[in-house]
Amino acid sequence: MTSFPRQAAGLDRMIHEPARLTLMVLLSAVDEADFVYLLRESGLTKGNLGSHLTRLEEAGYVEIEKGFVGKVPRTVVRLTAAGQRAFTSYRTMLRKIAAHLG
Amino acid sequence: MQTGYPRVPTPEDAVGAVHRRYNADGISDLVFGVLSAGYGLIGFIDLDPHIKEAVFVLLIAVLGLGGPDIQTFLRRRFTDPRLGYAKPRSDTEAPSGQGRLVTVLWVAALLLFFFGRWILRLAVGTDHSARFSPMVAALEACLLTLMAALGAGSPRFYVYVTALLGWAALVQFWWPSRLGESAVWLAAGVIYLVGGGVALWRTYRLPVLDEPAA
Repeated sequence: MTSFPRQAAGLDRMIHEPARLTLMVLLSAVDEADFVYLLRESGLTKGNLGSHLTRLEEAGYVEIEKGFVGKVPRTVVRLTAAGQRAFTSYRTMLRKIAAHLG
Repeated sequence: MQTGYPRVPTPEDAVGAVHRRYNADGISDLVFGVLSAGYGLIGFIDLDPHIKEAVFVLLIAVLGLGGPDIQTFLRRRFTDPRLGYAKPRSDTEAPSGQGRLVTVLWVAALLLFFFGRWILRLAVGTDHSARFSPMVAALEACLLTLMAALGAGSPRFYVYVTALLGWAALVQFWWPSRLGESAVWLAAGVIYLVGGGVALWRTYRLPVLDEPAA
């Protein structure tokens, strides 16, 4: 059985960061969402949101599709299968750690 | 301690946020309002009951076929630039206790709507059933409204129910007939149209959030 400190160390740091965790939670509840929705619901600034989304995309956790509605740019974001798996595994591990802590 | 970050939402918060966003603009209320007011208005027109039913079915067909396109157009124009776009998950898991309750109530309301009057007519006769029509109409509308409230969790729907029940009680007292029933449906339509209109206006007044250039 993996010891508690090792479990804690095994938490996915890409997801564990609060802003990215917020984005992962929001995206796990939808098939897809656009930049404005994530901006409004996460409370992050545009710059912060953009940079965290880029990090998640680089990790292969989200898929970003840039397009236009008329002349207005629209960025649609969705969780990838790998992102979904990573988030599920993160939640499971977090529950185990919480159980250890009582 | 990082105080600059907002609280991380729970998965339940995130699901609630999608539903809130979907109902915040009042467009669904407007569609129901048109349908309900249309049904109420038809009752005041002196036509053969079969023609009235045909007109109502036509109204449902027009809204059923064109409604999603109209809603998409309005949401793209008014809602998405202000509240953002989010598509609720299609592969939803088995419904929770509340989800199951909403489904059961929906089925009960549909059965009540289609068979309730028929049963009432058989039980107490046509003339007597007309007497209860306003209250039956109000209860049907309230049931639909309450189910929407359970699904959406919006306080707006509880205001609708209160207004509708108050009006139905007055109509039942002063005008217990089929015309009273039409008056209740018309009022329900107006209540939804006003509520939906206010919600759409509030959404329209929110600032448009631009994305950084692609």
